[in-house]
Amino acid sequence: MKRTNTRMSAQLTGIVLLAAVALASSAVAQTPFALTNIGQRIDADDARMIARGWGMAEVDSLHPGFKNVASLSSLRHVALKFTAYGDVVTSKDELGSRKTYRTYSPDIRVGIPVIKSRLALTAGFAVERSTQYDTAVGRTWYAFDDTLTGIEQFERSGTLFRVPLGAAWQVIKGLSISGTVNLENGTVREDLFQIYQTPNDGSGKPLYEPTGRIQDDSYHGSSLTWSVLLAPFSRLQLAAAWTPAHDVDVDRRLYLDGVSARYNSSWKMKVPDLYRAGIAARIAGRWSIGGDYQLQKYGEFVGWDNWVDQMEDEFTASVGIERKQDQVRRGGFNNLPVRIGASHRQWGYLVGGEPVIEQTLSLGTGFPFRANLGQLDVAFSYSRIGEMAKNGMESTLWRLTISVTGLERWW
Amino acid sequence: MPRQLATLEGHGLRKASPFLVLVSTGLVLLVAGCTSDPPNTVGVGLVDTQIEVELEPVVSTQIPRYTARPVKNVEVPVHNQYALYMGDQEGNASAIVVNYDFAEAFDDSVTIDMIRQDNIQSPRLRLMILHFYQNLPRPSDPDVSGLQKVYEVYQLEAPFDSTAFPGPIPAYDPQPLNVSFDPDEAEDYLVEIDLYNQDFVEWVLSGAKVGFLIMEGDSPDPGLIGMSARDNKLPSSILGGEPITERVLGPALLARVIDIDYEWSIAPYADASTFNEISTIPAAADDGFMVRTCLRAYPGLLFDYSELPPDVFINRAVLSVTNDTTTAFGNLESLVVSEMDTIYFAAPGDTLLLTDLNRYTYNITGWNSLDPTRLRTVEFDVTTAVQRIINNVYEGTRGFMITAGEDFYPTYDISGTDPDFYFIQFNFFGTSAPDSLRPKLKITYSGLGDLGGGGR
Repeated sequence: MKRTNTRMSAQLTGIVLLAAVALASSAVAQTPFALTNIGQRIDADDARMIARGWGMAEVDSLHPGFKNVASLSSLRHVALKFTAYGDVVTSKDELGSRKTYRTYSPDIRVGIPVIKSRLALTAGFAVERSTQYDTAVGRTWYAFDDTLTGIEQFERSGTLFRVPLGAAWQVIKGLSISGTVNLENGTVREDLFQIYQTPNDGSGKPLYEPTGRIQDDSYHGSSLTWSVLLAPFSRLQLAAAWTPAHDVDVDRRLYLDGVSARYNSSWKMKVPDLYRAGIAARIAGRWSIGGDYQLQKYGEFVGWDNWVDQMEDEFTASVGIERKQDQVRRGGFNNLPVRIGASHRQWGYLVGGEPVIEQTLSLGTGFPFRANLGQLDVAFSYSRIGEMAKNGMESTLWRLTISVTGLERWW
Repeated sequence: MPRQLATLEGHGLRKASPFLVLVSTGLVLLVAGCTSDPPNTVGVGLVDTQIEVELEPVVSTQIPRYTARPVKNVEVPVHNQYALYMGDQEGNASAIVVNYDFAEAFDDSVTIDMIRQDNIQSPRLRLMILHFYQNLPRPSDPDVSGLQKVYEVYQLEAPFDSTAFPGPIPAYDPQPLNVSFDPDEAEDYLVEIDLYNQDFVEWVLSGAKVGFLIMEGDSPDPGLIGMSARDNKLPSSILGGEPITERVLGPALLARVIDIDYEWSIAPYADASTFNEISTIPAAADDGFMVRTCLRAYPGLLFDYSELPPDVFINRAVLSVTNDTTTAFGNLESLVVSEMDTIYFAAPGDTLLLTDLNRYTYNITGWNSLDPTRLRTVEFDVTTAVQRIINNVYEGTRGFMITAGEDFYPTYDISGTDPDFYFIQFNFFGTSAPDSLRPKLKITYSGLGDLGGGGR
């Protein structure tokens, strides 16, 4: 009992450390493509799924995946999973280039077996979309006889996240289903500041106070996700999930910094159906292949009028191969899992009048905790987002993804 | 589906340790510790910067409410001020009154038996000109410093009442007491007005209280001139910091006692400026407004904000006033702008206590060491105040009070003298003056316009 507690505390320490580092982010900018519209989709995938390109058709009870809640039906332990990203993004457009860093935690989940290997409940926090970028441009203004020079700074930041509360049930051997209620919330804030640096009073203090326009959007809604996991053969798993179209209420508060008046407005955002499917197959020995696909027809988006013309169907296709870990004595690195994947995504909105294509290559591995009560997974991925010729800008992204999964027998 | 559970448990794979967790944490930390490039133009094409935050200038020259308040400092009434004023300037006129108690005139060296006409020599009344006035260029000859004045001394019919001033000159015997005064004989900062031996001996022997009036005769140079009063605690105001050797700083009666070869000085027990004429405080902003010290008078202005749209941000607000250098006079002084609720504006002319000025005003900004004879247009940055006013931060309506550098505005109280000391008058043009001269509030603001803009 004492050893178990020690092991668990080590895992939890790791989770807490990662959470602290990821949440205490000091450098937050992401790609400028996320500066507009509904923002960048953030996958609720753990490092293993990112590395190998699939996660819907997951059946490993000791290394559960939360992407498809139905796969949690096989749980025999309480599972806690935390994922952290560290991004290095280099972006450029015709005006220049910029390198940005960001760490954040898009996904924290817990799964609890109610009836071991039959029925499990899950809850958590998952970032759905993120928008985090800032710009600055020099400008000149005029007031009375003064010519004012300074910068115009714009920052857009925020997330749309969901709190999934779900249940997974193994109906019969080889068939699991799940239902999840997603409480969707989020805030997106836009700050536009005009900072008049000159004229100043000689000591450097500008004579003109900066103007700040602030827009706060808060999002509230809920959705349902239904999913299924099929394992008709020992070597093959199939999965599908559907989140029906749903409404999200948006409350907008617009004001000038330093002015007490607030302009409030509300609108509804009709989020299109989200379809997801996955397949995984063990091809030989420790080797498996698989793929996921998801589609959300943002071309049918209804909501903020300024966005509608820019919307585009969003889809993601990803494939990959995995060599699962082994348990051979003195196997050394040969026991480690190896994962390689690739993905192709079209974003849900146009930039520069053209679709935004994001392509990713990824590589990863993992380390089980003692007695296999948990896992540390790591993935490195490289993505290219957009294309200068089409979108007027492009980004390259290096991402380090770390996931910690902790398992414990609570009863 | 749980089949893999059995296959994985119990084997000797090298397991992840807290060390690995720490290494992974370190990697994330490495990224988190990196500093992004500062924001630049990359991505700016996705921002709609044509937001309607534009700088709009508005000039308010309408002053729907105005006040001009004499401000009284009960702690320093006129007869306790450190300076005495004589002469007239821009509607202000004053003489000096001095009371001596000859029963208390004797010191350890002089006894009553020494008081004989043949033993008293050169009785005179001595005044000490303040350094500022000693350095003023003569209007009659600007290349020379020091106003030239002709002094006349009269005996009051009775010692003056200290509480009577500002007020009319008390009744006096029109027969001058002094020997004719030659302004060219005034030495440096000391003015010695020769008196007659016989009068002096009679005053001393009477042991009575006697009042004197010192007023300006037909002087070469016009204008007010300031002298040190008996209560002066600022000897540096006399010689600009050089040591003073005289025992009595205020008006003193001096005489030489021949027997003991002694220079006898008699200090007054009271002195005051009469301020028998005080310039009229303009009753309406059309006529201009003044900031006056010594006999404080401070104006209050409430500008019209009706041209400002609601709910705008004030980027800059400048209160601009123009001083008439041809009529303004006096030493350097600070000018301070404060907010004050207009319920305290009252009617022009109603006296406000200095302590109430402190209570009712909230200091915004000011300028130090302004020369009323050279200051033309002065601008005060009242941005924060207008922001508060426009945002209805306060109950009621607030205007601007323009004052001198009082003790309770420490940033602007940098001189060694309080506004009770020097008689200074800034005369600002009013709203009926030409555009370039009238007071104005120049406001630059930003509004949200059509509420558009931001990220596309």
